[in-house]
Amino acid sequence: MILHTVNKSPLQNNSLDSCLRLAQPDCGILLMEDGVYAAAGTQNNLLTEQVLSLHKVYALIPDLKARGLLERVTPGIELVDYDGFVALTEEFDTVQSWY
Amino acid sequence: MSNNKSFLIVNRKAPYGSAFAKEALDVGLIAAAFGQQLTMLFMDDGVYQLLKQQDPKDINQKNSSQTLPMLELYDVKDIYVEAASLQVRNLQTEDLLIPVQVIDSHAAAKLMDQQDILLNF
Repeated sequence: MILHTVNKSPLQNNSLDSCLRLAQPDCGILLMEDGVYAAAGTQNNLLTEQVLSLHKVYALIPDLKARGLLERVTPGIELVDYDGFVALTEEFDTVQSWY
Repeated sequence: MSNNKSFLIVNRKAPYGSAFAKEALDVGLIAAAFGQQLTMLFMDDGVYQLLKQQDPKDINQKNSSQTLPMLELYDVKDIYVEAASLQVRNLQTEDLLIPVQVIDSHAAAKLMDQQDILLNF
């Protein structure tokens, strides 16, 4: 199973778009750096309820906090700190970075 | 010939993911300090630079949003945000750290037309 990491804003390039196109059910998707803007919900939101029911989606707390987004996270997205990030890389077999 | 020129800084990048936001603000404050006529336009992901409650100490970066109120001290009053960019991000002016003037895309285009110098970040 793959952990996908996305570190670009969904409105800046197509990293999240491509990730979701290839992501298999039950894989993990971790939003980090500017990728966390996707967790705050935009119009034409890519992280729909359907996507969130299909994949486990995580967002990195320090990056949310830096950008003023901690209180704007879409329900259903799990928050992780740096230790949680490390645990995820252990839990999944490989990491695919979309940047 | 006058040494006083009108500058527009176009901010289109989110903060922290790159250095653009910080550098744009540095250039803006320098231009203002030298008495140039400065206008700031925030659009696309650049509007995220203005969000309240930024706290980047856990990613070991300086809080660039704390520098934004300096613009007012340097007498920079022309701070514009493109409405469409706010709307697509579900943001309102209440979500922003400093007072701004929200303008439509047509007005933003006119703003660009009026300038001597355009700087993009």
